[in-house]
Amino acid sequence: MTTQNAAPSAPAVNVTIIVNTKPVDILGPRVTGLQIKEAAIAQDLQITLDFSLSQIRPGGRPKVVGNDDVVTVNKNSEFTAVNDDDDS
Amino acid sequence: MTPEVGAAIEEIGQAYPRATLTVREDGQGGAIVIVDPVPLAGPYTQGTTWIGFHVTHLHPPADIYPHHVRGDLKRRDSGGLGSGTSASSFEGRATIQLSRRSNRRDAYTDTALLKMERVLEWLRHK
Repeated sequence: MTTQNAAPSAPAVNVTIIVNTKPVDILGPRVTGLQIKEAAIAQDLQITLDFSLSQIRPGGRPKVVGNDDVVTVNKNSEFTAVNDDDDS
Repeated sequence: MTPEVGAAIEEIGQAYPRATLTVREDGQGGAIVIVDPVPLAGPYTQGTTWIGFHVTHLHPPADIYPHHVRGDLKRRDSGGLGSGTSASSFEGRATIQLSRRSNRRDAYTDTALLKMERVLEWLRHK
């Protein structure tokens, strides 16, 4: 019989991130796009779960974060959530 | 061009330092922009494309629409490119037009760079 030890995961920690320029508290450090939107909505940001979420990286390309995508957040993490686009 | 249009283009240039930005002022305060190359991949045979669009003098309140990418875009599965795409032309180039309208645009949170990234991400996941 063998025993496999799971890799230690980072302990959960409360992190204040920025969403649409507003502070949002979330239990990190690894969170999904959906969890970020849920936390933002719970803290009264005027967005909905179908908004498009992007991680802002100063001087770099924004990263579109899908609902199931996992990102690691810290106090410097900033996101923008906007209404998604439509085919026309 | 207006300061707002200039700032939008500068932000794109900072995000894509290795790309060539071709900017032609439209004479009304806006500009036609082509960023070349940008990563593509996804279901396509091509790993990169260029992307072009018109930032009008009404930016940021006005949407940036449509966007154009390389006209020889092909899927690896030989399928059609699907809804929201059509053959077109832009700045003398044959293109695939990407028709993604921001019908509920918020000028305070959305940017030309974010819109470009959303359109490219949409294309990668078609």
